Amino acid sequence: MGFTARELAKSGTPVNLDGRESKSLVRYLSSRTMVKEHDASEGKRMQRRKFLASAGALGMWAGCDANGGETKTPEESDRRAEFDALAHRDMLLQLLRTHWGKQLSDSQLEELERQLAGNEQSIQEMRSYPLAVDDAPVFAPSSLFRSEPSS
Amino acid sequence: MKANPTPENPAFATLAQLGEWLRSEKTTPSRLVEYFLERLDRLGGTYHAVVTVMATRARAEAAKAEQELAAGKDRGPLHGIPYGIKDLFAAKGGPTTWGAAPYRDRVIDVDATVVTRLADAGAILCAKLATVEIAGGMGYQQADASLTGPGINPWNSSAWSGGSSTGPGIAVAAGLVPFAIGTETWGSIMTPAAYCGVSAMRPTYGRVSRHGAMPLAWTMDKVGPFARTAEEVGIVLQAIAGPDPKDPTTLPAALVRSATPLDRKFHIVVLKGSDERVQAEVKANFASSLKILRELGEIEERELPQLPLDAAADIIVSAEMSSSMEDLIGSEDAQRLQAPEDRIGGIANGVIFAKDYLRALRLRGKAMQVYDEWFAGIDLVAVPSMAAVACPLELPFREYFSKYRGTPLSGAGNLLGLPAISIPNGFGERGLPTGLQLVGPSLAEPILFHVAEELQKRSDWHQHCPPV
Repeated sequence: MGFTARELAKSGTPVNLDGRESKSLVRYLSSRTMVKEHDASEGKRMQRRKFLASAGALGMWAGCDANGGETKTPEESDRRAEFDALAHRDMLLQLLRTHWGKQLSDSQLEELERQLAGNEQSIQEMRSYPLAVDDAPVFAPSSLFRSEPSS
Repeated sequence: MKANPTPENPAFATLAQLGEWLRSEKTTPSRLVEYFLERLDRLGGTYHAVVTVMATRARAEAAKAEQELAAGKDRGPLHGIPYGIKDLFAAKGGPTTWGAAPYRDRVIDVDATVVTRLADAGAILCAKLATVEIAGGMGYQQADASLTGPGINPWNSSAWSGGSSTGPGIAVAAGLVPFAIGTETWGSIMTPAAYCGVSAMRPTYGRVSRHGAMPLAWTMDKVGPFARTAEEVGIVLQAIAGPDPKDPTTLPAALVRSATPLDRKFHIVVLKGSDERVQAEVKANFASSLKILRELGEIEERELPQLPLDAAADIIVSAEMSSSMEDLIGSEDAQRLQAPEDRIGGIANGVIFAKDYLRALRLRGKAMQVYDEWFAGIDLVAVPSMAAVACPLELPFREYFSKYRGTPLSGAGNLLGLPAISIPNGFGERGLPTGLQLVGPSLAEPILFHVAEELQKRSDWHQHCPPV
């Protein structure tokens, strides 16, 4: 999606958890389609992105998706996917900077990129299959098993 | 070579043989325990199969079994039989390491429900067996990913044993214990069973309590037995299966292995393309197995329903382990894990959105309906257990496995909680075993055991043993 975990970890710009970050990262994010469309000021951008992260974490997006997700146009789906990918990287950046960035070697950062790309590929594959509103989550498969079959 | 066990040299003996020798007083629980403790001590390190030999506990349990059998109290086919358990399970008398250096000395002073059930059946815990660190949940990409070193294949010491249940696969194959207990979240029983040439079952989700076992992914973790034959696997599973208030996902009690032979023909499905992108010997051995299966029923070729279930399983495991292993991920402790990739394992999973995890769970629900319809009238699906024999120890997984296709129904089977059994069906490259996997709809263990046992009555691959 344009920048790598290694670039993030090595860019040298401090980021803290209250959401304020360097101009270079904001400039980068401003270049992305969805951020541009919602751009008014840096403050609004940050507000929007913070909302996305917290909404995703609380499961609010899943509710939105269940209620109307399958009527999205392909363009809207693409934009959502790109937005999600941006948010993933944004959150990962925060994690790297605040917790682990200094401990990671180049090969570990490459592995981290592979993990992120693998997850995103799986998410994209899942999105390719349409679900209905009443396709509810199943946590324990045993909750849906039928009675013991006769042998 | 074929096994030739005796009461004096009981390695590779079946449970039936051991039981007969015990009850005819050709051996005793204590003699069996001393014999297998010596093998575990002498050979466990060679194969990187053992974490802790539980000698004190085993001797005490053997003395108890000996007294009970002498007094005429018979607890059944596992009474007086030594076994080993993957070191993901807590057991009194030794540390519980999860195969990981940060937990090398940790003691969880309780018995997991599986350990309690086996004690009730009179079985004797002799060893905590090796596992890939954190059951492979940190994303290992190489054989060298365990506190105890890479699992060495008893058939070829330059090959991996498979994982994450490395110890159970090796220990049964090398005759270090008569049976063992492993776990599977995604492939961790089926892979070492196939690579090590032993029989093993991944039961229906909820069949066996996970209480006392390391949780990796709560909605996908299963517990299952390893032994030399399908019949023995069934005997062990019957002893450990059943409801447990300490694991609310467990199913009601049921016979997992039919008491009488199933006298009917079976509807068996072979998946289109399941023998493509596999090694030549795997393909040939699968064809030989199908010849025998045709004696047991009708074989039909079909395609699986098209749903992105590997992707859903991937996101579920990733999201759940980011919670179950939250304290370890990214910690100083994680820097002590063996595989470099494991030291940063799970970090990227921390940014999976709840909505994507929920989409995966919704796909599971949809797929359970679709697969219920697809399995209507079908008894089981037969596939090669693995597309290739065990990989060379030093080769990165990506380099070896990218040449072959994944196992059909592995992601789907684990996501949907379907039972599967793997039995040896020949040998391939570098003298390593190949396996046949039978997958059934949920709760179909009696049929899987019946068919696997019939296959083993008509072949002798399960009687072969490595030159240990």
